[in-house]
Amino acid sequence: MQTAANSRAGLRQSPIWRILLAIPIIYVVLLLGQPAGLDLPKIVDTIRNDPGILLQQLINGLANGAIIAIIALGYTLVYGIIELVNFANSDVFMLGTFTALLSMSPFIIMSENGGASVPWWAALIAFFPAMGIGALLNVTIERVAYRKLRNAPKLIVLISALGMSFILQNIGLQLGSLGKLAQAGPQFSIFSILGSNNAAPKSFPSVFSNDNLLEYVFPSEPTPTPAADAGGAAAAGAVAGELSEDAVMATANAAIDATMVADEATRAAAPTEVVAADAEVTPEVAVADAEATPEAPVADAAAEIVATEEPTPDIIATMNAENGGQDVMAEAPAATNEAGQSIERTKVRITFKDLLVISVAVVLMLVLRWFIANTKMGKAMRATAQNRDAAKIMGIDVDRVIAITFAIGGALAGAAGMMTGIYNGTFVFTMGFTAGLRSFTAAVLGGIGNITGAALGGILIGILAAFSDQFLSVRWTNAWIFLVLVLVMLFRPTGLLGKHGGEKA
Amino acid sequence: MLELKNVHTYYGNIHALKGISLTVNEGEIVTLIGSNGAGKTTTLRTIQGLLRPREGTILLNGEALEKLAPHVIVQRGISQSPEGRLIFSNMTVRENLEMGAYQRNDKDGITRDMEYVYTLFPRLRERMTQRGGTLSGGEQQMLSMGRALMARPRIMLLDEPSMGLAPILVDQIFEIIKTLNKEGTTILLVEQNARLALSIAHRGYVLETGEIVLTGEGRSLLDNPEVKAAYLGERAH
Ligand SMILES: Nc1ncnc2c1ncn2[C@@H]1O[C@H](COP(=O)(O)OP(=O)(O)O)[C@@H](O)[C@H]1O
Ligand SMILES: [Mg+2]
Repeated sequence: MQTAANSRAGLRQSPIWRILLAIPIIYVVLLLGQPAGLDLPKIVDTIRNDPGILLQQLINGLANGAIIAIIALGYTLVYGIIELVNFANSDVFMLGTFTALLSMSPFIIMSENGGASVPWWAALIAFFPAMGIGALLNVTIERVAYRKLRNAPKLIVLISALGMSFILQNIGLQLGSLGKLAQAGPQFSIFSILGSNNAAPKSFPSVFSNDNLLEYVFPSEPTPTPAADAGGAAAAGAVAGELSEDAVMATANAAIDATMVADEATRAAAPTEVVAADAEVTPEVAVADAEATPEAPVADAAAEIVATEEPTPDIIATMNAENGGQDVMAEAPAATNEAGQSIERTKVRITFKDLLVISVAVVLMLVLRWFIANTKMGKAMRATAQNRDAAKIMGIDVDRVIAITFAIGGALAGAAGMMTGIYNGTFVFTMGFTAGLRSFTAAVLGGIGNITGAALGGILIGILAAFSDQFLSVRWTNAWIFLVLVLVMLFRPTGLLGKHGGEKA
Repeated sequence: MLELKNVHTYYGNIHALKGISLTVNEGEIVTLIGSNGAGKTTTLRTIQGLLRPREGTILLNGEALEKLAPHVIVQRGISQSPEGRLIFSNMTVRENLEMGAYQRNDKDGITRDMEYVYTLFPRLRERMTQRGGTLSGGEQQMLSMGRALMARPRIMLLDEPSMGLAPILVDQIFEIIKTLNKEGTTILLVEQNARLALSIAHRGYVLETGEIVLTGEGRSLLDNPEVKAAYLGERAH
């Protein structure tokens, strides 16, 4: 396939041009990198003091990258077949999370401390509606927004795609308001999980434990240090914020947000292996504990932020939900480091969720590859991607093939939506934007139209995001990813695995 | 068998076919000759359903085709080796042939026809697992025709099979066209190489800027002074 950038091949092929272009770009990166957290000595220092954190972020990056990769498969499949960037793909992903949540809601079990969970089989069942609705949505989008424009100028289709993205986002916003129904009567109680604020991040019931699987392999005795205690306090304090009547009053919704932050904080603190039992300590004690720990002022502050239910947690939670739940997780260990002067080392954690997300992604990718290489429909997809007229001459119903491609992309986005719910425990209706940026960049980085490339790109972007969250700055992570997108488009528009002139799915 | 009646096809505002009428009878080789840009390819694309005529009708054994989708037209029995061959370069030779049989579900029949194609073009058998993109021009032409055969068509449309091929190969391809026809395939052959096309065709049509200007038996067109002057490179006396 020919990308628009390919037509400017002459520019890219000249090595002098590349070097001339690279110099200002490197300069700008170094210049702007400072405010964006690119402080190399500090990063080196952090890693030297605590090498485990590198490994931990690699694991986080892999898991988040796996989700990004699955969404990227949808982008790459659709682009491969009709050279269209289906911007709505990542909003289908967002609605996939909603669908999964709503289909699990009848099975939600509320625990005594207000935490919502569902049995694993409910999560398994919810995969099907999430994928089904994703497929249905994407097919409808193709029918409504793209089919008539198949021979229209690219810009027009692009605008149509953006329009679809906005529409889906607003559907997400409206779905969020279903939570208000819960007040109307007990028959609507399944919607209570959505909270009363339609725009606020939603919490996803927990399905699998956060136990560190490495603990089973290499059991160790918990030796809480002051820094770890502070982390534990942060978690406990967050729980306190939710439970205690004495906590600053807030809306019921903010309480849910706090639960999410708490959840994240638990995971954040977990790398330093907080004694999980600490969370059961009475709130007052926990907070007091945190305040009484002078060695950890930063962590203490974190605990306060979480505990006082001012607008702050809401914002944190929103960012958190958009970024795939990485930021609190990333900041807390850094805080302990600063506070504790590198006393405590990161204890590498691998949870069942990490393994689940990564293996589901691998399985989906392998099945997709097999499908495209070996089935009649897969071959028809390749034929259509290579030359639509030739495919028609073969007797292939091209409209149907394109619809099925959208269906597969949508089903993958729905599956990714389900997995992001399970993995991050929280989501918000605007998360399609960030997910879209990351997965589209992943698809371009790997070589758009190339399935293995999308998977590779997803993993790389996931790791980049995790590292940026940890070592640079959460607020700038999207900017770094955008920079990657620009650089790839400038210097290697065919991506890492794409050949010159283009290689099809 | 195939009948075009007053077919008008446009590219936007460009009036490419200005009322074409032609007939292909069962068992015939009919050729459509004309210079570059006359509208030969446009005619074949219109028959296949890739382009919609704005006026006129196309009948296959009495059934109107002009509103059917291309894949349905393939089902009805029209297949094509298109201009430029349009081989799927990332697919193997065998996969390309499989694509040709996309509308069929009779596994045994497909296997038998594939064997038939390999007998017709032994080179394709040797290259079975090679990617289409690695084939030479002649081999690609063979593959393109083999692929069209895999649809088991009632009528096969060939768009300039001689284009870009060495003379020996061209002769070989035309021999095979004759063989195919003898074995029962009806053929509509588009060519710029008028002499060769008319020499094997039962009947021919001459197309000029979207209009049919002459028609007749293959032999008589070969002897026609206007055809000789315009398409056979001989001076009219
Ligand atoms: N895609 C197209 N868009 C606009 N005009 C076209 C297109 N394809 C062909 N034409 C025009 O239609 C006329 C017939 O073209 P074509 O059928 O390809 O001729 P031939 O096959 O006899 O060489 C020519 O004048 C050509 O310029
Ligand atoms: Mg032509």
